[in-house]
Amino acid sequence: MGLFGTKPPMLDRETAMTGFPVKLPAQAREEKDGKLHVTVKFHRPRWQQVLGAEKVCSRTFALDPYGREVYDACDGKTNVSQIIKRFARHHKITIAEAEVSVATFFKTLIGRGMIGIELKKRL
Amino acid sequence: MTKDNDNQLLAWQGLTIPLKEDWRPLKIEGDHTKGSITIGNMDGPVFQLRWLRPAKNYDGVKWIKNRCKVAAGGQTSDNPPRPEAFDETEWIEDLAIRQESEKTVWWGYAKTANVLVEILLTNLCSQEINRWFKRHALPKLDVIPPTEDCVWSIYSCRFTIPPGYVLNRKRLAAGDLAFEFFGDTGKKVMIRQVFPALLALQRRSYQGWLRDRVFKERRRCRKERETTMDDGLQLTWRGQKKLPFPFGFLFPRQWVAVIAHDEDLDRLLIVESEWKNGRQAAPAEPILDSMRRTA
Repeated sequence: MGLFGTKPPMLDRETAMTGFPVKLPAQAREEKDGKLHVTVKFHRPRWQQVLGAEKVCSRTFALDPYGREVYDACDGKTNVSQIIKRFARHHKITIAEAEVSVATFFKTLIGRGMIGIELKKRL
Repeated sequence: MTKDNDNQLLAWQGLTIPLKEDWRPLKIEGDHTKGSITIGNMDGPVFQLRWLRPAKNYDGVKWIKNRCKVAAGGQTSDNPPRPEAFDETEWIEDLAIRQESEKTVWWGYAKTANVLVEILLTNLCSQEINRWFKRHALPKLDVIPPTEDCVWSIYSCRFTIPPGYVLNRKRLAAGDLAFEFFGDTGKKVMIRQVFPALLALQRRSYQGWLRDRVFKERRRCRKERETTMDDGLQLTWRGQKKLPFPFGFLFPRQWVAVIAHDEDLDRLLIVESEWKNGRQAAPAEPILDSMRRTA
């Protein structure tokens, strides 16, 4: 235990690539202006709570067609590597390019509490 | 790098080699004369390709012998792969460089194109990958002669550029690849590919993308004529590039910029060319066509 809490365990590349992304329960999902609007529960950071904000609030994020494609692929049965390959094939880009875009997007979705990744290998 | 039956083609600085689908450049160094490119997969580096274009009348055969001598006292392995473009080849398989570290080194000399190539296979990957590289990739290594149109292919961007152009600057960002080439007598060509076009056009219009500068320049662009083609999918600006006030009258350049939206590939293709007044124009539209045809 460090001064500012425990350090999160390191996730190696292989473990991350074989993980299964799965959608977390959303409060609402609706289509508007060609975008998918997903409303999720959002846990505010501690500094906001200290300043008097509520612990949990709801936030809506809009996904463009590319984001939606990746979000829809998070079915708990397809792993990260397969989603990347499918995205690369569909958009005629290289796997390396798809990997950068999709991995960054997954990071964003996880940060917003929209998806979680089920890991096969225990950390 | 564009796809070809589950493999990709890497074409860089006049050298082309097929790669596996998930291989990617890890490090690019040097220029047209001397440089290297390291290719790897998800696990790490697979091989390094180094090139050297020596002065004319250089004895490439002697260079290879010398390299063999330095590496393993002149001992070489049998049956080195000999790609068509190469006149002399040698290799050493499983050369012990350090303890528990064996690498395969291949040297080649293409006399007509005057290029010396060294390939270092790291042997860090599985036997199967190493075998594929030795049997399928290495024999297909090719050199584009300096008098012919040069193919460039990296990631999902591929284009053909006329002979005599040398890469000056590049920016390989995810979804935004840009290259700047210098030709003789002040010619300059800038090539850019943006993906996905759908989102790119939501952010900026065609005009906005043409106004956006990837590389810093001293001259300012002054548009004189705008033409739209292909049902609004292609826009061309013609004009001049001038130094800032009060030096605008000094050395102005002619300038053409073309932007096209390739709907099939969902990419924005941008080509800009500039040349000195009274000189032969640098090409823009043929390069754009080559990007479209082969991307």
